[in-house]
Amino acid sequence: MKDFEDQLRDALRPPDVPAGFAHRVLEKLPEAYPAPRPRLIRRRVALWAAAALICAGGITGLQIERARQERARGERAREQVMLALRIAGTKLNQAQNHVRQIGAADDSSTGERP
Amino acid sequence: MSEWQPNFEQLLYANQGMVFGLALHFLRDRTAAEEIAQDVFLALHKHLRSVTSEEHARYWLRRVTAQRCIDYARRRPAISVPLDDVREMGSDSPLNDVFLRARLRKLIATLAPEARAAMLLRYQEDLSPPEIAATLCRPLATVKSHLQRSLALLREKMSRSGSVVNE
Repeated sequence: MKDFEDQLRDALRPPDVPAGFAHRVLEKLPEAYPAPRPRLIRRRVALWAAAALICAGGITGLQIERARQERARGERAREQVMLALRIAGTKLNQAQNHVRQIGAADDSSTGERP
Repeated sequence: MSEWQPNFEQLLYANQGMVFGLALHFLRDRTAAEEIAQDVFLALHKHLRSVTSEEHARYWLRRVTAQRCIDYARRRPAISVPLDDVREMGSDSPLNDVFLRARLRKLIATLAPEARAAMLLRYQEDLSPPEIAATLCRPLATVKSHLQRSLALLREKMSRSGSVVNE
């Protein structure tokens, strides 16, 4: 007569596997975990390269734009300085002329002759 | 010494009986058992690089199968088997063993999922309690308790139904 644990072992003997089980598993492999295709890899590399190029182009464009803005700011500052100098020169000339006119008027009123 | 190279087909053919058996005894549903067994092997294929030996593959398959069966059983209502469900046979009848085995399998299916997994690993796979604890990632004391309680419960149910139970 069998021991109860032996009866359990008997009852739990692995059953027959359904026919074609392994074949069905093997058939499912490519759809479950497809190997990456070389064409797909090339496409991915091309995409990454294009993305890197776009990034590099963007950065270069930004740097050029920044340099252009710097130059424009310098130009504006130079023009402002020149304008200020011109205004100052004009005022100086006016003052000089005014002084000369005053000097000439003084000379004529005192009757002095050179 | 050459390094062991995993061969998926070889592992599949060598272990399909074990994986399908665990799932079928656990779930008592051939369709669900095949579905789980297929998923387990597909998962093995995905993790094949991390498998270091045939023994490791077997351990991995047992662990993943048990875990998936437990998860599956938790999502579904518990099975209840009336004790009169299996007809009694005379103890000398050759059919007696067949009915006894069927009855035992039905009763095992009524156990709680973790206890069921422990019993299947113990009596289908002949694992020791420490091996079962490692496979199910549970404390040894819990596994021993599951085994003792389940054995007592099965003995009691079998003797209540009048089947011959030998200690």
